Amino acid sequence: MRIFERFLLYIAVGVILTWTLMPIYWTINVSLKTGLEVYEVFSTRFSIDNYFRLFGEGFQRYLLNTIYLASITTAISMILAIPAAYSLSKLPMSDKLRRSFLVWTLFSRTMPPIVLIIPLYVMFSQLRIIDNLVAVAIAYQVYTLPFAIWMLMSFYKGAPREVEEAAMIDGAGALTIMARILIPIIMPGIIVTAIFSMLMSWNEFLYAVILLQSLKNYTAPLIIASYISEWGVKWGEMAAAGIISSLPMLLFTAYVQKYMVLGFMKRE
Amino acid sequence: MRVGYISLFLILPAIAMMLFTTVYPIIGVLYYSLYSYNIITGEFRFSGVNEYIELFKDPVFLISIRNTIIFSVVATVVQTFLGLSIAVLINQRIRGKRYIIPILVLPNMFSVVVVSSMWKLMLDYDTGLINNIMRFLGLQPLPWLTSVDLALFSIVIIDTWQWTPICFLIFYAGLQSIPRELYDAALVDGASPFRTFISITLPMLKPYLALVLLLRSIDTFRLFDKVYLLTGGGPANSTETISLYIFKTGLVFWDIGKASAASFIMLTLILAISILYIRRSILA
Repeated sequence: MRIFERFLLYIAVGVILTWTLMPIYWTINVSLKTGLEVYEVFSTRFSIDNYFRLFGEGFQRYLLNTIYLASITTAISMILAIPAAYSLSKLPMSDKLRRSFLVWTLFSRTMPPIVLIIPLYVMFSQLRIIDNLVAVAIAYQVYTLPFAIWMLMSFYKGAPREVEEAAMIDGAGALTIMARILIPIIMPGIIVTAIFSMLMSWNEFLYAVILLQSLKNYTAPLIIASYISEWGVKWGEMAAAGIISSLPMLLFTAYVQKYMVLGFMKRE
Repeated sequence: MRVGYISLFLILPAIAMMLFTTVYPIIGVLYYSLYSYNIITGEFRFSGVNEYIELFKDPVFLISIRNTIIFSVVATVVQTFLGLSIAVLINQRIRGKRYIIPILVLPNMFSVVVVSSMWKLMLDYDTGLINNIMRFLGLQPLPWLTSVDLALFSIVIIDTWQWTPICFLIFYAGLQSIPRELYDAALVDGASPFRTFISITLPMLKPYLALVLLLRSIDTFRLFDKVYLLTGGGPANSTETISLYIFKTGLVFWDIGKASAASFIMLTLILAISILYIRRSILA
């Protein structure tokens, strides 16, 4: 009976693993096929033509746009969130302000992004900053800023009080304590938070498709999206582009895995 | 006293950004919804609640609300149930767990656009893997994304593939936090595995269950990318969602007034869940 139970258990795990891996296997498979071979379920001929063609058509430009956008988004978030989270978690402040600010950041997490973008689009078009990557980075603060503030607050709260108190006795001001003592202590947390905001921006689609218009500003998700609608003509390249653009995510995950649960609770 | 000013000074830039990216849009939505405002024709005149009346006369808007609620409820329930089941399963003594868990989390490592492209390859009528397998088994291939009856269901499958891993991960963290002694005590008392699950596991998992339900209903309610990329809201509006409706009305037909009214309604629909989420997070 024990053996039978264990057998069932492993069958179940096998089914779940197959279900999880099937679309990934199939996408890699399609990315390694050209022409009609795409239709074969099992075939032994592989080629990396799709990857060559992708870069021949200038996919690197869209990757660079994506990196540029993710970096600006993250830089803005970090510059704003590092002091804000310090202030919220460590400094004396009117309770009303602290509470209403935190409630608002939580509320913003629940707002559907499409709702916020209509008025932002109207304003951006009046300011003539549609189709501008920096403007998109500002719109992305909707996602990344509240997230970064909450993440960093939990890291600040985890920092030992003694070091701070010792510095305070030595007469160090709030700014010195933040810059010289706390930021070095929570640096690993800052890096994790920055990685999560990079990834959010890296993968974002809705605001990108609304705010970016010319091909030269396209991010990787926008290019892949344009392949999806091209009905089979470029599926090999679409699969290859999907694989390439997912690599940073897969690499970073190894690094941030410990923080995944924390991150996903606060993430979009 | 001085320190009070510093705390304000440090948080002010973040407040300004939040005002710009979230407070201004909410006020904007409320304001524009009271106007008949079209960017292309340049029309801009006060129309009171007229846009709201127009909206509720539009059958497509009502269908989009219905689809969104159906999708949100079904996807949330399915993903929560599967996530919990898988977490309980993996929590057993299994060899190779260290390798299994990262694999189970993989689907969530891909962006929604990549996930959509993957499932386009899986579900395409002529060339998709699923239909190929069904033909191989002698079954009728199904029009997964192009039939009125199946399209929304297919979107649920795709969303479930992508998000069950996170539900699993949260539940798994919850299971790990339950002290072993509780189970030992149950074993001593001779409780059955089912009884143990109902009286120990489930009550201990309650905060995690609440979190998963809240997060998944918030995220499924805003469904946009998958339907935009895979069905365009069709066939026959069977996958039209509120987000997609607002997108088309505001940014394809440039009817900002109507899109804002729809946005405001969407916000009020999610409000109850927002309040639950905020209360839960502030208490934690």
